[in-house]
Amino acid sequence: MKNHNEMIDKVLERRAEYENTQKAKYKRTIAIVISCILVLATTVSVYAISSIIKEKNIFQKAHESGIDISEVDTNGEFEYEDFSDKAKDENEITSETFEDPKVDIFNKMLNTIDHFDYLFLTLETSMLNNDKTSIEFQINITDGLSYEAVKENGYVLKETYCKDGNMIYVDNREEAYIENYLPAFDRSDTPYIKLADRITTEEDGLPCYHYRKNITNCPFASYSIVPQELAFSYLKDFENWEIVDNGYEYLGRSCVVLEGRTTPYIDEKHGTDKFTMVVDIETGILMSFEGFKNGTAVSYTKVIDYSFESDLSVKQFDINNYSFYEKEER
Amino acid sequence: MDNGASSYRRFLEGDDNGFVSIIDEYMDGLLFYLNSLVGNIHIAEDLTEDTFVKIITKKPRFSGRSSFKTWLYAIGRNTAVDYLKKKSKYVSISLQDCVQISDDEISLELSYIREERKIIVHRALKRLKPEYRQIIWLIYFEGFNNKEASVIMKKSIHNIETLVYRARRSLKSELEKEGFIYEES
Repeated sequence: MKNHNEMIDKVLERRAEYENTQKAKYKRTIAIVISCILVLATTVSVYAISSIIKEKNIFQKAHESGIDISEVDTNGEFEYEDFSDKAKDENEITSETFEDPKVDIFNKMLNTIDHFDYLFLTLETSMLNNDKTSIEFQINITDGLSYEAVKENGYVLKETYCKDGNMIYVDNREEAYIENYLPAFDRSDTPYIKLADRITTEEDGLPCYHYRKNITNCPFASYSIVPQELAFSYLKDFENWEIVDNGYEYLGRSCVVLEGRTTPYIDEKHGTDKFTMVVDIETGILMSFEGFKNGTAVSYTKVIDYSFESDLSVKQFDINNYSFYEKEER
Repeated sequence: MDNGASSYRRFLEGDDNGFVSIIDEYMDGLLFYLNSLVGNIHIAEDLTEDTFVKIITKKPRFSGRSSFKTWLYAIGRNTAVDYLKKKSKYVSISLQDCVQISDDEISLELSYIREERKIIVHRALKRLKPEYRQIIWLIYFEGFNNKEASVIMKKSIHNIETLVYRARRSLKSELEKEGFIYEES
């Protein structure tokens, strides 16, 4: 019989297997789709070329008869269409835009990771310990580097470093660190998911939410930088919220302001019946969140500083800084 | 606040420790519940693992209409029912197997159920019909009320009340056969 730790290891191992299988299935589906598109494109191309040849024959005959070519195609039906680009576009969906601004901003929030490579950001939140917590993020997706620090009263409680796929978690209160704390991800692990496929219904009738991987490799990025969970929780019912300002400036960024009411479930779990979100238009990053109960602000998260510059260096784990810390096994 | 619900939320937000807490808190209870369905502690262990894997990979939505534990047990039951449907054509568990108690189960009983009186009742459950085993486990060992048990077992509350009555009568009879005095509580 397995004890709790063995059960945990086994479940995590099977999740990794499941994710690999899903990845393989996805690749197989993509391959089938590409093959179908190629076959279709070839058929269409052959048809198009045969049409061109037919037209050329008409022109040739006109030339031989001494008729001006411009008089042949009097209906203007001859058109050249470049099928190769069309086939390429249909083959690979990497983004979507929607006419409805609410749908568009919702989808942007689910795909923030597609809109930046480098980000240094600091936020304040009351949602961790009902007190002011500051979280600093340093992210370089291109090189797979990241650093996250959770601070209270100026003291760094915990840190997460990521480099070369190794995520290291440091608990400064326990004076301990854990290597390979959680799986680390990069862009190749998480292709774009069409919005229509984001929420599906399982056989047992329960809705299933499809998340893209958090390739920032910062666990608390979900509070602002990768706000998929918050978007699903607060915005999936479009009747519950509105865009009240689509030209709001927040720390120099063009943002939209969303206001709405929560579902009974969120009201019970988060203790908020209304909310306001400030969302960066370009990236979908949640710049500010405020939750209200009976008209009183009860929770908040707000970005207080950020930079998208690529030349800032991400803090790296240096064992010398933690030489007396205990190394724990995952 | 429901610990399981907050742990699950943490997990959905990317913190795997949330899921570790769920396994720590609910694994043993769920294992015994599934054991009451399938009557084999090793199969129940596999089904417990399957239940957790289903949650960690599919991330089903927890609506909060019931407690987290009720929701988790309902998923566990669905997993076990699927298993029983698939295997019923090929596998038959002999009564002897059902009544036998493995060393592993004894060790789990000692760590999870603890009280000797309850352990005696738990062993007597093995001789009851699967539905009686389930309802007794949910109501008397796990502390679910009739409404919660009705959600898990997908039955009406009236059906649950009837089932509880019959299960208690059957349990009483089994305990009395072994010379124990059954006390109504």
